[in-house]
Amino acid sequence: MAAVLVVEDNPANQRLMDLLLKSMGHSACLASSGEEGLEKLMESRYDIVLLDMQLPGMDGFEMGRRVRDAYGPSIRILAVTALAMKGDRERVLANGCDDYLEKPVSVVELRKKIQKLLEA
Amino acid sequence: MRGSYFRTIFVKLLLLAALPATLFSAFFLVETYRVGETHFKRATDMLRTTLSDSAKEGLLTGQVHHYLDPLTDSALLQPGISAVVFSDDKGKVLLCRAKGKELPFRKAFQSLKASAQQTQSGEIDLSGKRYYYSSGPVKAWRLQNSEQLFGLEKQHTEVVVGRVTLFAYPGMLFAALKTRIIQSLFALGILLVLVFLVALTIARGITRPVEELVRGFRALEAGDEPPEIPDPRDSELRVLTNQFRRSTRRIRDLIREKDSYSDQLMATASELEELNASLEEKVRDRTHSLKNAVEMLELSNSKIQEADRLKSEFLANMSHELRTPLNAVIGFSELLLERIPGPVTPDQESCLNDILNAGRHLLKLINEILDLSKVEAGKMKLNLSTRKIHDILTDIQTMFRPILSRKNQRLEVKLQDPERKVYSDQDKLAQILINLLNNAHKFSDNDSTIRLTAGSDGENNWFTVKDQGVGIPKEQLTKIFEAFHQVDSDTARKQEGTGLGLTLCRRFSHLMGGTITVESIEGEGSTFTLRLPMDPTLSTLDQKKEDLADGGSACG
Repeated sequence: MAAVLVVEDNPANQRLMDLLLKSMGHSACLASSGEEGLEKLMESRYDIVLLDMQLPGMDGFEMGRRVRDAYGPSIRILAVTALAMKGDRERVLANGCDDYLEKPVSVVELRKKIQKLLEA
Repeated sequence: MRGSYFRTIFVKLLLLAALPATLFSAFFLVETYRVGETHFKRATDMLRTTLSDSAKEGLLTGQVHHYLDPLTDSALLQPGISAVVFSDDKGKVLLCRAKGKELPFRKAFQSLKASAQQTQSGEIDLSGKRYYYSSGPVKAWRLQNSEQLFGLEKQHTEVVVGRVTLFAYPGMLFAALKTRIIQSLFALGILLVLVFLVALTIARGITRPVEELVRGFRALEAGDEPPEIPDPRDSELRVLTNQFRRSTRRIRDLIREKDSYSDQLMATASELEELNASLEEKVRDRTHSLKNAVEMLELSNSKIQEADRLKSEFLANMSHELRTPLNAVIGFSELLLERIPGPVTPDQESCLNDILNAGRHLLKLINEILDLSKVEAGKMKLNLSTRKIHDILTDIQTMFRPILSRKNQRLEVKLQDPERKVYSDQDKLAQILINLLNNAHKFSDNDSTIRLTAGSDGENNWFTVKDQGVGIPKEQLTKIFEAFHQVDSDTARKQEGTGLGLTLCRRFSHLMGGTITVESIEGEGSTFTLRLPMDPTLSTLDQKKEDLADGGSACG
């Protein structure tokens, strides 16, 4: 069982992630913005951050960078984003994220990615 | 105005007449003088001879005054004789008489030193005057004393008994000459006056018409009306004058003609000028409107670029905004179908599948719209590589089998040459083939057979997808490649599809330098053929042009 922080501003998607993670046996904590995500990270330890990129206030890019700067490679970051245009993937990976998943996600795909990151 | 021409002619005429006359007069005078002088000298010589004869007695006898005085007196009466000198045979002066003073003549005689026998004559200067002298011996017969006794005349000998010398001054000759000169000058004067008059007349006769002509020519030159020229007396000049009149008339005609021509020319020139001005104005207008057009074009170009940027931005936003809710739709559907939140009834499962399919359809639509806009913006890049056709078809078959099973359809794959390779963008080639197969699947009945064949014709690799479906009406054949076009609305409702699939297929095939064609018989099925050139890079450019050319209909 891993501790997962979901940074996502859309309530429906928050619930979806929560449901999915719990079904996988992980604990899920929710944050709606970059600032909130960073606070949560300071409060307790997480194995993986599922990070939406477009967020109110501090966006996923900045948060990704800060997490990477502050915690090093110990925390895995999986970007789950609706940014699906050309070049978005590279931009995401350049800002601290370990992997990239394009919305809408397939549940199967998401499970695979999380598993892969935990094993890495 | 009496010009220099008149003077020239007059002076020439004058010289022509006066010069010979003057020369002739001078010659005449000189000749007269010469003849007179000769005559004078000969007269003096003759007088001396006469005196020699007459003076014999006086000199022989020695009675000088008795014999010689009358002789001398008469000699001095002769015109021009200035002095007479008699001398004896020894040269001693016996008698010297002159019209004036004698002494100079006596001295002059003594300076002559003539020999007794000889006759001598010449000229001598005496007190500023030039005298002619003529000196000769006076000879007489003298008898020898003995011989006289015998009376023999033969014994008479001629001996010089003295000498007579005359000094003559040709004063009267000069006077005569002066008279002649005056006469000559008088005659010459008259002649000159006559010549002057004649020359004046002639010169006038010649120069007046000529000057009239000159005046006429000057007037012509100045462009004035030439004056009337009176007929000259001289026939040659009359010819000339007539010629002048004719020329004047001709010139006047020519001038009139020229004037009319130049009037026409001026008119034409002003017309041209107007035309030119209007042309310039037109050019200015055109330039102005062209400049405006260019500005408009630049403006619209920047607007187009702005619109293009906005379009890209819009597409990115649309993609993002649609993906976020779709994430929930698809994700929850999947989770529910996995029964994670709890049990699902068969009806609910069916509904959940519909939701999931609708969500996936929407996602496909989004992706295809993005692809299409990328192709149309020329931003779609080819990722070319070589792969065995056999491998490609095997993959597709594997991918497509689950879909076929829904309608219990069979896929028959035929490959002419299993070793053949294709050089293309593998993703796009697969996307095209799957799209065609999907269409075949959708528009064919259950249990039918779909045939996928691949081969090559030397220039192209070709792939055909043949179905036994509903087919496409002839009039629709060209429209099916247009965006959001399906054969008819009834079918469209029955068959799910984005309406962008074939459009993208055609665009992708064009990108790779190939074509997609369709043959169909309504009710019997359709055959789609994709042709890709062996080397897509070689023909890409041409295809892009074609792509642009039919881009409009594809978008419409």
